[in-house]
Amino acid sequence: MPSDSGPRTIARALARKRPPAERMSIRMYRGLLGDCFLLTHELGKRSYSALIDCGALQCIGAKGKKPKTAQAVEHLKAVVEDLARHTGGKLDLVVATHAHYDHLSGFLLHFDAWREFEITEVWMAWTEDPEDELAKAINENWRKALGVLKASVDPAFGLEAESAERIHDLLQFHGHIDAWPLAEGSALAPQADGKKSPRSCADILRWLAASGGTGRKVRYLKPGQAVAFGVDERISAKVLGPPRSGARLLQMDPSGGGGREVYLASADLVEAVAVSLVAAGQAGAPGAHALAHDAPAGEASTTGPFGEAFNRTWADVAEDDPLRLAYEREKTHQISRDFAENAELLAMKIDGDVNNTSLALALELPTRQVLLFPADAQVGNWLSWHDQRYPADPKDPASGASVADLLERVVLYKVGHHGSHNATAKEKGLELMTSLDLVALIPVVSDIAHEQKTKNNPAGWAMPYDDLLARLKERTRGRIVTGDGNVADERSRFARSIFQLSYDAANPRDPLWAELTLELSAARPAN
Amino acid sequence: MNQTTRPAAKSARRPAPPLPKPATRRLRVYAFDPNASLDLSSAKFSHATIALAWDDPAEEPVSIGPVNEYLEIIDYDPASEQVYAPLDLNAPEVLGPQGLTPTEGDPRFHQQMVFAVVMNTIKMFERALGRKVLWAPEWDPQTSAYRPTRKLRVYPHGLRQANAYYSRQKRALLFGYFKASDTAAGADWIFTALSHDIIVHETTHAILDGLHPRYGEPSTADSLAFHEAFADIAALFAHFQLYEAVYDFIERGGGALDESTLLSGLAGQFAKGTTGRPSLRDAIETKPDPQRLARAVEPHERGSILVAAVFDAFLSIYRARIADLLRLSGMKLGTGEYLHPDLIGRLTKEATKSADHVLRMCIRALDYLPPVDVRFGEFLRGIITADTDLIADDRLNYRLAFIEAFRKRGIVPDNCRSMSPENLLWNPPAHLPETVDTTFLESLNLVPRYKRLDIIAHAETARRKVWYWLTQPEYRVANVTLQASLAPFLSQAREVFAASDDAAAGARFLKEHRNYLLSLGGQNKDLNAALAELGKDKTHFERWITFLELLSSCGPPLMRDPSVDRAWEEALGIYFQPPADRPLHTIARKRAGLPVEVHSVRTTRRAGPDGQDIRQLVLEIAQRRRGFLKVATQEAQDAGKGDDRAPDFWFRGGATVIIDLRDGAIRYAIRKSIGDDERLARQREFLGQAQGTSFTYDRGRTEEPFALLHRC
Repeated sequence: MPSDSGPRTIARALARKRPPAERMSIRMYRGLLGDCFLLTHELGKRSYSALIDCGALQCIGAKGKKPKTAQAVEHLKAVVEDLARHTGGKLDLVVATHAHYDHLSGFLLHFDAWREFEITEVWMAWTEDPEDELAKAINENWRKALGVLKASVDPAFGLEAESAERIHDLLQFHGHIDAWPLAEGSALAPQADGKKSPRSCADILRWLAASGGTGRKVRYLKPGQAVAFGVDERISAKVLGPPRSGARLLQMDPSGGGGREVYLASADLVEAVAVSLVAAGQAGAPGAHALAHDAPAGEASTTGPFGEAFNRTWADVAEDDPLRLAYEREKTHQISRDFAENAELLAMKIDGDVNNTSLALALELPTRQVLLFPADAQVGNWLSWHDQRYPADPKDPASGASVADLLERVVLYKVGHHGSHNATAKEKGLELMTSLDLVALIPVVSDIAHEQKTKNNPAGWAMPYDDLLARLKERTRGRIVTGDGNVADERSRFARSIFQLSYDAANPRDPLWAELTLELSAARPAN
Repeated sequence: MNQTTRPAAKSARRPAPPLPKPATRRLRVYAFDPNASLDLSSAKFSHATIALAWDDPAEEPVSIGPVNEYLEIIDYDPASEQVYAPLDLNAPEVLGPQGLTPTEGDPRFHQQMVFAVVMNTIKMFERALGRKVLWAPEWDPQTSAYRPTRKLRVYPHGLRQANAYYSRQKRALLFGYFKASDTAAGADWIFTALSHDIIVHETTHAILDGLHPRYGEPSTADSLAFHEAFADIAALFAHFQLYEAVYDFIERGGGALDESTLLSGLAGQFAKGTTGRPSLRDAIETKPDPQRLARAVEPHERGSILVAAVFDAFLSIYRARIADLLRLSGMKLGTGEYLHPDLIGRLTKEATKSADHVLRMCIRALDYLPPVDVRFGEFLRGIITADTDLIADDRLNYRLAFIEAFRKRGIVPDNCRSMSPENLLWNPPAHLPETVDTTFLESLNLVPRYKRLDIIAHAETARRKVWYWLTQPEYRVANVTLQASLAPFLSQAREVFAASDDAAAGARFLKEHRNYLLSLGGQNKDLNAALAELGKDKTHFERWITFLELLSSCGPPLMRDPSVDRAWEEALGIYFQPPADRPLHTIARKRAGLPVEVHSVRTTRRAGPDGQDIRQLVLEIAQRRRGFLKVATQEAQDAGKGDDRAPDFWFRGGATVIIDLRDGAIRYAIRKSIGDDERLARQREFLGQAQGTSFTYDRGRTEEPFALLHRC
């Protein structure tokens, strides 16, 4: 028993008992029409850094047409450099939510910088798991589809300019795609690891997953799982989506009936487009659709579904044949555009499907507050969150929290798909986020969104969608930080928030990042 | 004198009497989808025979294609770049054995099957509707008029997709074919053109589009679902009219199935075999739950409930019809006993008959529905009213069966005090005169026409006349003699302007009646101005509007009688002039008032089982108003503030008017009011949800609404 039991000893004893300061910071990199979020969990002197995506859409497109778009490449470089500086080149966790450009282009464009990072753990959705049968089937289908679509926009196929443009716009999200026919396997065949730079989003995912001796841990997350991370593993990440059932997966908008039949039809759709391509391609010049008798090795036959004896082309039909005359007379009733329609349908479907397989996470802090990061999940993904409990225990289906319970405790919502109209569910989503402390982060730059003009969307993309933004403002009492927000405005609105808002001091007028910090007390043990 | 009658010289030999024309042309088809994954393996070889009329003298005879009065089958397969040889239905090799033998491998059989089933469906509708089927006309932007569609184009192998749809744009039925990726038997081609049910389903879309062109636009979950549900109903009950299919099923089920499950199983197979929508099968196989409809938001699910309700009605009717058969035979279904073939035959006959009756009731109801924004409850009212009009004495309680079935599934009309048959009838319009002015009816020249081309031409002329009659304000003259001559004068004017697309006719008419117009209070300067204007007007309705403007410039003694116009506005749910209390600038302003469209003017002749003969005139009138998703914008635009911007959606109103031709009585005006802001709010809510099929990334995708519906 020490003889010195004066006030200093007591103070020291008390100091030992006082819990170390704990806080959670969420840094959103601004000026991106894309996601890049750095989460830092600090407990005392220890910290844990996690990155959720790093990408911006705006690095695509010709410099001339989209000036702001071109500047973004430099901007992303600044972002990556800041990340390197702030974390010292070490990341405890990288989450790659899905294979779209606006979430992964940072890795693609500045791969050299990324190669130097030390990444301890990587999380991806189960749809990227090379061992999972369902995932493999889905990915195979996508790879072929993308390859086929990429080939279809080649001018040699004579696709109508408008259709080609629509398809091209949708294909931009994937990075580089090898056009079909596929040489030695898939269109997006990965480059040899480490030797060549990755060219597509899929390549990035493969690079991230390749631990190759670095001891990197890779997890493919399934809905219903709860994974602990952070300092002392005090934070629990509840995996909400993507759903594992085929029906839910393809429910981009719930009016689809969905089911395995729809999924398989998609493979047939790819087939259909592929075969038409071969037919058109082998004929050579656009419009000269002659019948190609030789099928390419291993692929579907280009001849029709009937025997050889029934084959007959327009060349075999007499000029004055009454049916031919009737067909040629009514131009609007002709159907030679079928291939384009199929191709467009396919492009739209793939785009929606990839978004819908976003890894959606609810990060539960030790204080039981929740940070919601649904990436670009569309309504079907959101609805599926209600299908299971968290964590899901097959032996005890009633255990764990329901998603309504989780949503009730959401204090930070990273708005889905840069605030577009169909990536935030209403009644089953935002309306359940009833916390009075709710704040929102919208990684968007409206100007850039509006710059993405197409024939079909002459005003560009409506991001953030105004009705959604209005409702968000109501729910958060104006406490929203956007990628292009007014700094002073946001500061004043966050004056009374549980989050502390700070900005990158190096650039006061247009800060590189905005950070929300939440003080957590370490009194309650982690769940 | 030898007067012998000798056969005359060679040149004047009497010709042999012509061979009697056959009554029917029989064509074989597949009764079941040959590749459906049914567990009835022998059903793959089950054929049915469809009997079509041989050659209707009023119709163009069938020629190579097959092409006939209604259809044009062109077997172009763009995905394979092939144009398969067309079929000649009159070739002896086809006529002899009742059509080509069903086979998947010969495209000509596919053409035969599509032709037979489409024609059979058309005739089914014609019998029930009491008039010839006309396809939806096309709007020709160059002439600013509707161009009639004489023949529906059919592409039996038009798509390489697991899809089949009616294309509004192309006025065509497109059938897809594809390889099933999961068939264990290797790559097997599946043709939607060989599925009886899919063909009937798509043809029904085309026919319904011709009847109610605005039903293709989604305004509520019900209206979006209605097209699909009705097409499913037609396909389901057409399936049940295939004698061979039903016989086969009853024989297999035999005594093991009781009445309630006996035919549901067949319906279940139907649902599974078509586009594979699980909701349809689910709805038929589950017990009726009135709460389910309230919970179902999504159109497919709602549609399935409607189909299940009609199927329930069919089952009740069928059970009632076979009750005496079972008592007579002493057989009890459900006990596993062996069923005597004669009994199976009779049960099958009752089933096909019940299916025929139920389908006719549903088809007849189509005339008793509003022209836009149909709801399920209104469909029930239409069924009951149509049936009551035709068959006063419902001995077998068909109507009660329907009401009961709908009620059990939760389908209840709005604003109905009770579900008794009397309360479900549509009411005659209040405030309107009981009968329509006879001069007007006579001017429509409603003599029976048999050739479709004549019918089409006449329908168009009649449409114009009705349009003129509607848009012309009601006038009165104090002077009795002038009043008496006013109606014939106007009638003649309508005749002249409608009959000819030539500008000069209108001008001539005005010149001939110069004095009469002056006596009505017109002025020479106005008349001359009108004549000059007529020279510049390009379309028939512009010319008519010029005439109306001339009339309105006539001062006393010609006076307007606004009360009659207001009464008509109330009854039809539209506005001819902007209403006094609210300006409604969202309805476009044109010369001489607000534009109104007359969808169709058709006469029908329906025959009932006891010799009833009902002749009616059915008019469809509609109007549109700009709709906006934000309430504030809507109010501002209605009030006329703000720019004249394009709407987020079109809100439509109007009415279906049924006039009894025997006495000119206006029996019904089934309306949807365009001033109904509550209905507008409901449509706004429906379209604004993420669950609507509108407002995805690509707004331009509403050109082919049926393709997207089926893609699901």
